[in-house]
Parts: sequence; structure tokens; C-alpha cells
Amino acid sequence: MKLQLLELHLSQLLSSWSKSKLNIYSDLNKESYHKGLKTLVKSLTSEDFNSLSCPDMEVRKRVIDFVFKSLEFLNNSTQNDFPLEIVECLNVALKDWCDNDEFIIVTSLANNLSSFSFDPSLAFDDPLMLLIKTTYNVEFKKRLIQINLPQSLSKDYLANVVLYHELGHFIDIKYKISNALASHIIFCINNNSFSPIELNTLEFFFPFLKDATLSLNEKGNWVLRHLSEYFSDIFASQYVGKCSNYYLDYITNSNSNHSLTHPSTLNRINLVDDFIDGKANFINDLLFLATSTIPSSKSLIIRYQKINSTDILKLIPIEISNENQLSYLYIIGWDIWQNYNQEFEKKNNVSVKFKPSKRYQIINNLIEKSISNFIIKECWGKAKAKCI
Amino acid sequence: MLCSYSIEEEKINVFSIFLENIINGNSSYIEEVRRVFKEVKDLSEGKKTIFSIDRNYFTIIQYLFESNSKYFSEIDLDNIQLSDYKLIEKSLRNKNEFIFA
Repeated sequence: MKLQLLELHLSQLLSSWSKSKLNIYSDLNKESYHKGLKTLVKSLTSEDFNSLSCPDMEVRKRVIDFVFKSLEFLNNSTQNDFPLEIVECLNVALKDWCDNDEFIIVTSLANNLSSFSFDPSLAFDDPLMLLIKTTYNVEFKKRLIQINLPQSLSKDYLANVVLYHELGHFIDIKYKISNALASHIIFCINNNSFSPIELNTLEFFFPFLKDATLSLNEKGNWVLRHLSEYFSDIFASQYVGKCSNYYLDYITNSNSNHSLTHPSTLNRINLVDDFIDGKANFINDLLFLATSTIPSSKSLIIRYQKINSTDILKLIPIEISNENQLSYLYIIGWDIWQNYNQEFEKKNNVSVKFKPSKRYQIINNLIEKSISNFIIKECWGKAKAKCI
Repeated sequence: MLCSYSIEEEKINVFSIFLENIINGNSSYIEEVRRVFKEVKDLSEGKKTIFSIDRNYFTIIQYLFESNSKYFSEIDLDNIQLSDYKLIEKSLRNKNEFIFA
């Protein structure tokens, strides 16, 4: 490794840090993480890189990358930019699957309308964390779950149902559900362990399995990628029902072809429909099996709790009585958007027809208000309990 | 994208740094490496399955199992030799794409 390049890397970091060091966050966890970064930057700048061996320089490169990557998300998770209400809903879902004291959800707002994604680089890198602790005695008690979303849609409670899919990728990678299942599937195919009916279903949802030109290894890698999408779709539907199907179908133009990384939209929708409608599906059965084997055995089940309310149509926020109802707000949003748009005028005795852009604004504002009312009520209750 | 980046690939690179450190006489990472070797051995001997191995080092364990299963079923975890670390480090450095079998 070239010393000059490592020094260039550190100089780039210091330039970026000069702005980020002033970040103000809305919660103590991010503050504490930021302090850890500050210690790392201080340690890096006080070192003489000239005296380092090549493996030690490799370690510094990784630590600089780690600080850069952390800032990429923390910079967009400050008091002003952070989509608090959306992240609060994701935090509730996260609690169902792991101890969310271990993680902080952070967001990066991208200038691209389709840039919904999950970046796993900071959430799971135990080897890197050990490297940092051993080298600088700095320990990050919490890991960042990095979620990318389009800046222009950061307050859109219809499109953001897909963030539950992104959270599904986090859970899948954390527990290696698709990895284990892909290995199991390839092993069973290789050993002729599937019945003809099971094999038919597999070939329907993974059509490339019939491709004689692909090696078993290539098929395994494709199965893994497609399984991770199927799992994340089912994961999301536990919270938002079929809503992410509606958006996915539109943005992919109902794509009936699969790609190297993604199954066809039609297959994805079929699988979610079967899950929500409680219909038997061999692929879902395999996902249930793999999910049940993870630590403290989890289940893929419908987790949203229905609310019977027409308050949004009356232009008032919905009162949420418990956390499990939060994600149902998204389902209500989609239901109103697709089925009850004429009702706004009727319910409010308004003679002028609302334009779609106005209805879009109303639905988003009222869902956000419903969530923020719930958050305030919860915080108020906790503060009051402490005083008693 | 200028170059490819894979989190799992990077984990393997960092694990290789652990091995390099051990080979160079630094014992800071011995316990962590031994823990991973134990997972591979357990998988090789059928004491664990692909569904129950450690999730943080999943890809490394799976790779070492696929490529060196017999070796790990015979390794003495209480008496790991420098030559063992060197062999595994070399195996990881020469690693190709993930193998399914």
C-alpha cells in the first residue's frame, strides 16, 4: 500500500470531518456514536503513518473507510434532515426481530427517485469492530442500520412502504436466512430430495433452475439473490400487507421477467398474495422453516393490527392506541388513495373537487401527524411515569 | 461504479488480517479465529448445520467448510499450529467466488 495514497485518504476524511463534526442529532445514541468517531479521527491524525507496517496501513485504510461510511449516513440523520416518523415505524418493526438497543437506524437521502436500498456495510462487520477495538480501544456499542431513500420522497407515506422491504434485507443478512436456505435448496436439488411437485414450484419461482447452461454454483448464487428479495417482500407484508406490491408493480411496469438479482415482479406479487391470503405455497413454507431456525425462533406472520377509522377522510389524524397499529396507517393511506378519493369532498361537505396532488398532501400530512401524535403521547406517558 | 465492493468479501479480508497478525506473533485475535475454526469443525463433524452456525462469520465458515471440510474435522483446536494459520490464510487469499455444493 502506498503511503501517499493513505495520506490522501486521511486528508479527504479530515476535510469531510471539518463539516460533520458540528452535526447536531435528535437522540443520544447518535451523539454517542459521533463521539466514538471523534476519538478515531483524533487517533488517526496523531499517528505517524511513515512508521507503520503494510498490514497496519491496511488497518488504517479500513478505519478511515469506516468513519467516512458512518458520516455518509449520520450527515443525513441530523435534527433537520431525519424522517423521524418513518424511522419510528421501522424501529417498532425492528423490535419484533432483534434487540433494537444494539442498533440505530440512520438514513441517507439520495437524489434519485428509485434509490431505496439497505447498505449492510456498518451493521454486521464484527471483524472490523474487533480490529478497531484492538487498535484504538474504541468500542461502538451500537451499530448503524443504513437505509437509503429518495430525498424527494422522504415524507411520502405511500412510497415508503418499501422501506419495510429494506428492513427485511437487514434482518435477512443479520440472520443469514436466505444464505442458509439457498444452501439447503441446492443441496436438496443435488441429492434429488425434492418431490416432483416441490421441484415444479421451485422452477416456477426460480425459472433459471431449468437452465442447463448454468453450473450448480451459479444457480446457488442466483437462488440466494432471489430468495433474499422474496424474504424481504414477505417480511414487509407482515407490516404493510400488499401495499408494497402496488408500488413495485407500477415502478417495474409489471415486469414478468427475472434478472440476475431480482425475481419477476409477477412472482414476487404472487408470493406476497399467497402469504397475506393464507394460501399454501411451498416457497413460503421454506421461508417459514428457515426463519424458525434463527436465534429465539421467529415467525413470519401478519403483524399489523387493523384500525377501523375514517378520520383521515374527515381531515383529522387517526388516534393510534398501540405500536402494532402504526404500520396499518400505511395500509389505510393506500386504501384511501386507491379506493376512497371521492370521499374527501363528501365527508367534509366540500363542493370543489380536490386535485390528486392536494389529496396526496392531505394523506401524507395526516399519516405523519398520526404517527407524531403517538410518539409524543408515548414520550409524555413515559416522562409522567418517571415523575410518579 | 468505479470498483466492486462486497461486505462479505471485506469481512474475509479483515479475517485474513487477523490470521496475518497471528502469523506475525500478535496474539490479539487468536480467540476470535479459534472460535471461527470451531464453528467450521462443528459443521464438518455434523455437530452443527448450515442453519445453526454463527451468523457474523457465516460466509467465512461456509467457505472454509466447503473448501477444507476434511482438514477441519481433523484439526486439534487446543493445539493449532502456525502452519495451520498459514494454510488457512493462503486458502482465503486464493478464494474464488463463493462455492455452493
